[in-house]
Amino acid sequence: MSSHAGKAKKFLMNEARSVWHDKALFAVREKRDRQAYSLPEWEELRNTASAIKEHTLSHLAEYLEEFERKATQNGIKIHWAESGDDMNKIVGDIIAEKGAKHLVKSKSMLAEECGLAPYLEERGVEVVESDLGERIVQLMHCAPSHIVLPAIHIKREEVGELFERELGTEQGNSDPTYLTHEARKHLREKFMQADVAMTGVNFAIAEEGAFAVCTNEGNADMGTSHAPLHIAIMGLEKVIPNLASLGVFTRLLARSATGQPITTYTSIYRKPEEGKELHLVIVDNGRTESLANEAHRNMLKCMRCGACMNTCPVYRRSGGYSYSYFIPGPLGINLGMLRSPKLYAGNMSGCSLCYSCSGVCPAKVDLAEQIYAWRQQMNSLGVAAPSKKLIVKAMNMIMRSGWVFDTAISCAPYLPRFTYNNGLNPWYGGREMPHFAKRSFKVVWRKMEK
Amino acid sequence: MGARENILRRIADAAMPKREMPDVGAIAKIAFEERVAKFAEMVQSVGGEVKYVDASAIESLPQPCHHSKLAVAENGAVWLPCKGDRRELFACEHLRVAVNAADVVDTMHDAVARVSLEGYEFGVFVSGPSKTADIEQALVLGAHGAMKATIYIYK
Repeated sequence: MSSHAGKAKKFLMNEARSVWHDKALFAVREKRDRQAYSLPEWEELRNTASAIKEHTLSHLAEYLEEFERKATQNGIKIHWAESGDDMNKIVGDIIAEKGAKHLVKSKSMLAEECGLAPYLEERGVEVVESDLGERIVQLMHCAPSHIVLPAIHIKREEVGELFERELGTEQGNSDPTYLTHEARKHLREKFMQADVAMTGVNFAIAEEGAFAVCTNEGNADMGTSHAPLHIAIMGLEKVIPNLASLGVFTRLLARSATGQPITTYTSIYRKPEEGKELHLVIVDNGRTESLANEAHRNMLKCMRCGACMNTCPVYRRSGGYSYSYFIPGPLGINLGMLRSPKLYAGNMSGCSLCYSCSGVCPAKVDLAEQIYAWRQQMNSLGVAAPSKKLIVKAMNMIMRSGWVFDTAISCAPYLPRFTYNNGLNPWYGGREMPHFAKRSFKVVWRKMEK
Repeated sequence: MGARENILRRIADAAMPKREMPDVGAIAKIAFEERVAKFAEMVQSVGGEVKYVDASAIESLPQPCHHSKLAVAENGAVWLPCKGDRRELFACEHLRVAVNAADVVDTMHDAVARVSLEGYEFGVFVSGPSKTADIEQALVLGAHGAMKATIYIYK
């Protein structure tokens, strides 16, 4: 059993919760559909977004240099990091140099990817997640289970208990409005105390030397407008050519992510406020390697909307924690394989090849096609299941020879079912094996010809 | 400077075949017959409140009230460029923005074509009050930013 299948089995033990999880996410998928169908140009937008990303990736160095030049003119301090460790060190050094101690951050998948929060905490910096979902999972000491909806797996009663314990909210009150407004009060204090604010970057606009950050809660803007220091971190694939491109992406992002026409706040940061500092770290951490990988460079077109997760029948029914990579779903299966096939091949079984993810992706990333391509390489990458390999070898021997195959197929219906309908057969788990027909197709065909 | 050069060199080594920039202007974008009414409908759909006022009344609106020169019908967003301290814009309980009906455009394509960042440190498209659905997907208005948003439309 693959690592994904094993953990999914545990998730499915609580049937009521798994059904709830499936429905909650499918509702988000339906909201996305309503938005998509409301725009006649939806497919044209997807095609254009995909083409802009491909164009940008094929001129990546020029656009990054243009962005760096213009952002520097605007007073943004640009740093480059080859790896996650390098990024952590750069961020840690900026904070140490300023003597800052309290960081509020908005959601960043790159920070998760590089383990930034634990790195800073080890160095005595208080790291407060300010997105409500991220704050919930941070206080629970667990990881986000979705990239856009980090706490989608947690029930309101659990949040109520957590806030009662951590924030002193009313006992037994698990009303989402009450809890959200209590978190608002609690985090307001953190925003006021913060001496450094951190954000990710949704789009770095080369022509403007400015970058866009999209949130619904306003947490990125609360942080950056209060703290004297703003550090932004971005994967190098986040650069786009110009504002016209931003127009295309902002039409797609929130519609695909949560079924909103746009995020509440689409903030464009161009210059630090007078007397304040603005730093931006451009991070590689394996991305240039993906760019060189012709079969999988499409992954760099992803804008992290999460639509592929909401639509995935396997993700919805197995939960974010069934995947061993920190990003789950079709996106995480692919990114995990690019990171390390040895470590993350166990996620590949978490795909039924229904291709729904490819169908909803706003940047037309061919997620399912790529998972299929990875599966063809499992043996050469040394990550194929030994039992399946053995059976495929045996099948290969049988099917290569006409008379061996004919004999086997004529005997098969007389085999007692337990010989293949059992746990040793890796395809048996979770499904009944079909019955062999008494007469093979070949035999039936011959009879018809006569 | 090592990291920068190494990264740029690896990008060059990846030698991805060049692709053309598509013509964004060629997208057959949606146009609303009743553009201002669509804008008002979208503001309400994202949790905001709309008030139609007379142009002569905009000086006497409750304060603070921001003035936006650009609003987007397809998503109910208003564009607010900033220079200097912008804490109030996000920390306020009630965000008020006045918009001239003539400054409403159809889509984000039209909006970004009118955006000029020159002279500003920051700019934001705001669509309704701040919100979250992080607890069981239940929509709650008033996450960290404004609890309430009122858009005053005048002619």
